Amino acid sequence: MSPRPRPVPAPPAGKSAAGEGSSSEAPRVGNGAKAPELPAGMVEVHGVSKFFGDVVAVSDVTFAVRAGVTALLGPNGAGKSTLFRMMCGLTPPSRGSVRVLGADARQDRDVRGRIGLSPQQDALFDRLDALAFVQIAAETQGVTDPTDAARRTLELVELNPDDPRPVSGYSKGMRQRTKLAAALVHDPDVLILDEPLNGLDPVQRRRMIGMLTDLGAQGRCVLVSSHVLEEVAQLGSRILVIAQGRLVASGDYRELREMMDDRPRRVSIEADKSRTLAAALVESGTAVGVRVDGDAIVADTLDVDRLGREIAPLARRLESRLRSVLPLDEDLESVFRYLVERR
Amino acid sequence: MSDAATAAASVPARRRVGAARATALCYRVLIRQIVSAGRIAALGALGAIMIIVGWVVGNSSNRGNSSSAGMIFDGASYADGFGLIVIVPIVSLVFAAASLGDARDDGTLVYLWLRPMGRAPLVAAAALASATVSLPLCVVPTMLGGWLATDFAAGSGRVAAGALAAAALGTVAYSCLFVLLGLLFRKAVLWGIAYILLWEGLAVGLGDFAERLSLRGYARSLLSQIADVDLGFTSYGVVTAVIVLVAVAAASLALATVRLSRLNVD
Repeated sequence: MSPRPRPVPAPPAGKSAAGEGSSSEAPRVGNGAKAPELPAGMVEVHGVSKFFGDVVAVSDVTFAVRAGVTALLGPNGAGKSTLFRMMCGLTPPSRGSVRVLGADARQDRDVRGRIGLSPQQDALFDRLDALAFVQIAAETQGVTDPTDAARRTLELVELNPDDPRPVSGYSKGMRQRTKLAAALVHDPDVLILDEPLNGLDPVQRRRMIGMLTDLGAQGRCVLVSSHVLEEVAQLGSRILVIAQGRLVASGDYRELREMMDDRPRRVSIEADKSRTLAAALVESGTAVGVRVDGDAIVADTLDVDRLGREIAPLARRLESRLRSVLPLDEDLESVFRYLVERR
Repeated sequence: MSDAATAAASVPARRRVGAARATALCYRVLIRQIVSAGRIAALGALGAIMIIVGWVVGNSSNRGNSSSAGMIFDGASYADGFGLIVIVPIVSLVFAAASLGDARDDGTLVYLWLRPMGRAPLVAAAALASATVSLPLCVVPTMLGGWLATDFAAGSGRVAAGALAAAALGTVAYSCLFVLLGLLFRKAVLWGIAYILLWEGLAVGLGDFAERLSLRGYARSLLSQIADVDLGFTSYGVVTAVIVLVAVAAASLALATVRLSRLNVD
């Protein structure tokens, strides 16, 4: 796919041209950190909520995404796939509006032809081989030479177009790349990829990330979801963080990462004389908050290293026998919890 | 992949996908998805049983009425009782409910839904694909079974013609109805079987009004009228039966199109 200028809709008068995904924008935490403006971009999500019965899958989310790669980061069940489905028109929002290239994909068939979706589910037309599968995608998108387009796109994702096996015999990584080829074959303006790196080995993952970055640099709007922070770090600088159906942070990845690094860390401590030790930790400034339950202490600290250095001498001085010191929240969930709690 | 991205050829040329082309493309996909060796074997075996039993009935020496009229009646009754009541609805249900229902359930519908095409071609393709597979599996055993059961008595050709027309139109109408059912319910085959057993099988015995609301009544009216046999139920004229069956098919497709437009696609 050769580089080419990509159309970016001009922002309507009176609306902000900078989406939250803009790399020039300072990071924001929480939906309510700033009064939501009507966003402008290739994908515009405004005040969107989605309910499934009593379950709130997405709650009052507003953002805009322009050309380039934007990562949607969130734990499983956060609402990422539901947001993607609404962008593609596969399900309507319960409240708010979703516009892709200025239109509702559920109603506008021309816009559907400008979206490429690689869905999260592993389903493919299992009796077809990869070439036939991607060829059908090309034909239904109106590509005039579907066989040639399908062959080129399969080669692009490093699959053999002449492989006669049906896709049911493919590995997870090959199926992912088949889905990606089907999403890319008509050269869409907006590419929506739901967990596209799942099932890929490290080499394929690195190449896929390189390809997505190229596609974004060529002016396409590439939206990629992931629940793995390190994947997002490699994908680019713009991220939207979704947790519990809410947009909890958006902006530049590096700045958000630094902000996340500054968050209080939670450490579990087991020791005799736990109340005395907990009080001493707070008094010395090693912990900013403690919770004591029997011999167990859960301490919040801004400096894990300092707590590690000081806790043993402190316990010895207080004649408290220290049994264990364990970090509790080094995982991604804790980052989301922190972002949610800060809202 | 990154190098390949920049090295690949230019943006593909595109054209608008018209309704006829969209229907043909979707048909090509769906027919491959719904046909499986297991389904064809099981439903083909059902048809084979009907043909064999029809031959046994035709050659049975213990017939109550061995006159030509009696044999014609036996053949028509058999085509109705096995072909129109069992084979036609069951075979149509299996393929039609699967055409879009399976795609919806397994998550592949998105590959046909998120396309610059209307919804009607997709629904039409589903009905065409299921009718293509169902028609030979329904028409051949119903016609052959009924014909063999007459033991080639005078007028047996009328039974075969009536069975052919009734099975063909019945299959088309049921196929369209069950495409709609596949979009309305998950596990549509179970709902379809309940409909066939409880409504088409039992409720129509409740009276004329109930019978007017069953497809089976119109399909077997065709058989009865063309074969010129009184099967002992309210019979409608050929024109009425054809109009109703076609109207049910058309209405089902229209409703399925609306349903597909409003569907939450996984």
